[in-house]
Amino acid sequence: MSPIIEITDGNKAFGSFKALQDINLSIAQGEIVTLLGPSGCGKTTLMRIFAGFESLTSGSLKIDGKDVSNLPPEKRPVNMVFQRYALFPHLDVFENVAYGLKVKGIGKDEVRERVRNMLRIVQMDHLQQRFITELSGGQCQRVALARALVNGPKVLLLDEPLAALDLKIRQHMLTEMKRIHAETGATFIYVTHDQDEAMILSDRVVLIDRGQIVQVDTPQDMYNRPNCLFSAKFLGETNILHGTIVEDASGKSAFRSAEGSFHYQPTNQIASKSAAIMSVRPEAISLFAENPARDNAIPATVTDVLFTGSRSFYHLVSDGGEALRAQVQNTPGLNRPNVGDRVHVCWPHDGSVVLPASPSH
Amino acid sequence: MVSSQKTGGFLAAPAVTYMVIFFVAPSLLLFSYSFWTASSFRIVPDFVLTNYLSSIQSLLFLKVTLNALLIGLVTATVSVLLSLPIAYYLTYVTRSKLIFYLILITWFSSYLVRIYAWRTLLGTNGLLNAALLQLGIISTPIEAFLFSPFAVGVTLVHIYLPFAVLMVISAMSEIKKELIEASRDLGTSPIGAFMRVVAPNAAQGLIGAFMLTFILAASDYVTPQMVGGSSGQTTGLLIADQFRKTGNWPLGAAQAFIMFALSILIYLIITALARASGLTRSRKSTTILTQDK
Amino acid sequence: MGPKYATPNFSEARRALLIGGAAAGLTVSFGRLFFTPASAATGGTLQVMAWEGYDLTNELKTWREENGVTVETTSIASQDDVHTKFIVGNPPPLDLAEYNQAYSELYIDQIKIVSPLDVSKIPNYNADNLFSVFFDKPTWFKDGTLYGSPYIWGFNTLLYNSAEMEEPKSYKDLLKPELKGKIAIMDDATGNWPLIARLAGFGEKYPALTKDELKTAFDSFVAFRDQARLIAINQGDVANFIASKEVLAVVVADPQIIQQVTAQGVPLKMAVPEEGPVLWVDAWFIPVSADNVETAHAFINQSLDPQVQANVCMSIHQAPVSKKAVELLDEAARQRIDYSKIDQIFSAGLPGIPPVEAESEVASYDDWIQAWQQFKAGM
Repeated sequence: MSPIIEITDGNKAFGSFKALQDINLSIAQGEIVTLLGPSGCGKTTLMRIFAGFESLTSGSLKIDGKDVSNLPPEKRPVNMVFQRYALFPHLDVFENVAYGLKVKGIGKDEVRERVRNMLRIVQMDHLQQRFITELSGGQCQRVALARALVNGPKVLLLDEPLAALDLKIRQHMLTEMKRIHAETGATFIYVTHDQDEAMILSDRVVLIDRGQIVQVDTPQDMYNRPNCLFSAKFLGETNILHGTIVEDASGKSAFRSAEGSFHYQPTNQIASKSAAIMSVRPEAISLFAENPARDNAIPATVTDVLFTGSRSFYHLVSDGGEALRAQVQNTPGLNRPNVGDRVHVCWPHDGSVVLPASPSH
Repeated sequence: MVSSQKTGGFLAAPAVTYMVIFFVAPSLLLFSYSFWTASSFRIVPDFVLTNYLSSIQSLLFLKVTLNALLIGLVTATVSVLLSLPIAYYLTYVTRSKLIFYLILITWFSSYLVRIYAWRTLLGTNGLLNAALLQLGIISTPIEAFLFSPFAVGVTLVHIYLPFAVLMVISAMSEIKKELIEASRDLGTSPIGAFMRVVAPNAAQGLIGAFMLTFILAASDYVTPQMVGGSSGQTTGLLIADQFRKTGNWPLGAAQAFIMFALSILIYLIITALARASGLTRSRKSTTILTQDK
Repeated sequence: MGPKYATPNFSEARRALLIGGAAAGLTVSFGRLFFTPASAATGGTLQVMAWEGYDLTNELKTWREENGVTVETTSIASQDDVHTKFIVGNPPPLDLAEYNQAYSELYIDQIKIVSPLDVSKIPNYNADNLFSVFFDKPTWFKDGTLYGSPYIWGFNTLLYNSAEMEEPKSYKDLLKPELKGKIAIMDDATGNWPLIARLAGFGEKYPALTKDELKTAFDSFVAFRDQARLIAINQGDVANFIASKEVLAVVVADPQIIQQVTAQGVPLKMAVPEEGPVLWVDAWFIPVSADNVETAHAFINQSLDPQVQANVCMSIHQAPVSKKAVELLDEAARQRIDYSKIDQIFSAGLPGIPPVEAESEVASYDDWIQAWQQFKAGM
């Protein structure tokens, strides 16, 4: 099946500022794809280009196989859920949701049925007559969602829709959105800077940094196999060690740093003797009271313990002076180190990713 | 009293005091005058309704008041309509304030200079007639460009348009750009977005802009007098004459308050029209438009 | 150059009703004034209300410097500006003001804002200096007391562009079809009223027309409005239109305009049609609220000095009340008026104003004002 959105060699410049460079992306029908990145990376610009509020400086954009460079927003089979909802204050909930249908001239009866159905899906059917000043943030969010979805768009764009909501509601809304996505089958393109949302929601994540796509992968692949330092650090937390690739006595590649030599599972080709970095996730680290006599074990001192209920985060300083973070489940029965304790920090061969030191994107 | 109320009262006090002393009190005094009588350039305390009654029954008063109201309505309508595209452009489309400043600059020119400028432009030998003659559209100059309702309209719109633009911009700025984008996203063209989203939400502000321009134009008696010929005689002139020529302040006061009442009436009519056409609605009302439960 | 037309002398005073028992409150009460005793010496500040150009700024410069007098002038745009200052309570500390003879009775007898003049302080006011038509005449001199000192005079009449039309013999000549849309009327109520009355045949009765006569007079004046391009609000206004040749004649206006217009190359001349000119005489009076009475008298005296008279008349193109001033006029000024016929000119009489308080049938000042407003409004 041909992709629902296809952008080729997309560039967007505002004057001399390059907002987006060399964007190549293909999105399949029915996917939930998240555009993820720090503030100002260009993800919102890219979304607005999909919607039609901005246009590419160069490159092409096809929606459902058609080139849309000359198509204004009102004519695209795309609908958007705005960050601050952009609900119409002069209309009530029903009228807001019905707006797009009425603009198309759809008959009153059909409008009523479709709007009621959509409000049921977002669970707002009991508040049809309310005006937006009388709604909570979460309720506004649902109305915005309904207003966009009721038009049956091929692509739904969501611009940081949960940014203004409390944590608990956010989590609830995330599950809701997955449910609604399943029920409607539309393609969702989601923009956020929150990696948790991205990982929970998406089929694929598009990581963007300073206008360029860094990595496109499923959440798991992106988390487990970041392709560069930026990816490693942006998604989740990680420990970064700097060193060089060497060949040890048996001919295997090893990572030598100030802490020592570490073995790892190579996932890419890095020439021997070249500078590299090793990324170790905190949860890959185990803490031992005594030297466990394994590979990849270094001594360290506990400097801080952060207890968060189900897990504890440990801040450590290795004997070599490197700051490390470990994350350990608070399984009942296990001894837990305290601040000041000397421990051994250890991780398995496949618990790390080694990347070239120079930026690859 | 809650402290925030006290602070609010404290901050508002100077302005309110000023208004009470220099506006409310004199207005009340003037209102009481309107029931007095005058003779030989003296005003005499009394309580009669003759000033009001004789004005309402005077053909002259009715004619000049109709002039004033028409002038006000036409000027306000044209000014607000012309302001809409400019304000839309300045609020939503552009970041540059150049056009905005250009409009404001016209205010730096003297009021009277502008009036005289239009008299010259619209006169028999003026620019407008000269241009039309050159283009062969007319063969003799049109005298009716000057000393006519047309001249009054053109001059007043020129004078009050910047004012209307400012107010309409202010009304529109409150409507976030996102609402227009949302509307377009849902299928309307930019004009459609304006009609269906901006206008209803800016309605209150637009009505305010309309009414203020109306009041200014309707009470401006200098411009119509200078460029309007017989159609330029307005109530303001009559009132001024009562205060300057005949010494009949009570009559002038009564006529002023009749104009005041008429302005309020017009405001009420306009808000009622806006409500009836669905342009505005009171939030608390439960009589909503279309759907049934 | 006397007009053929004669009206009764202004001295035929009408009976004006005095306001019976002014009610308490805000009537004009002069007892509340700040009345400092007149200073013995001339000097100090003099508050003057006068028409623009008539306050002798240039002509009395030396006198002011020699006597340490500062004059603060407020300009009058119309006579109403003077008496409306006295309507409510606190009148202004005005030392000196001009008034048009038409308002004499109103000012002196009715609203009583004029204080008697001390003739001994105005030596220039004498039969030798002044033309007899001005000296001790009932308009300004009543019951042995002088209230106003005549100062300057002139007349308003028809002005026309001599290059574009023939000299009109009657005002009605302006109604010719070829002049449609080419005349102007001055928005000067009191200047037009005597003429409006005369054109309708009521000249003898003016200013005491009945309400019906008033209506008839204005109805026939409508014909002039139909001929008019504009009703000009001031002299500069009509001068512009004459200079641009959009307007070829003004019904009745101050000949002073001629200077401005001829300077722009248009030959404006004055005509004195058979219905006669509208004469006016301005006089100085000292309001009851004046405080610098001594200097005011000295000022008045100076204003009657022949040289000062000649200078100011040449400057503003009007005529002096002083006989001796005539010799001091230059050629151009002397040619405007035949001073040897002054008695004849004044036999036309000085127009008054309609009564402020009128008996039932007679049209009052207010009625005339309203008629004029209706006229301007196209009714």
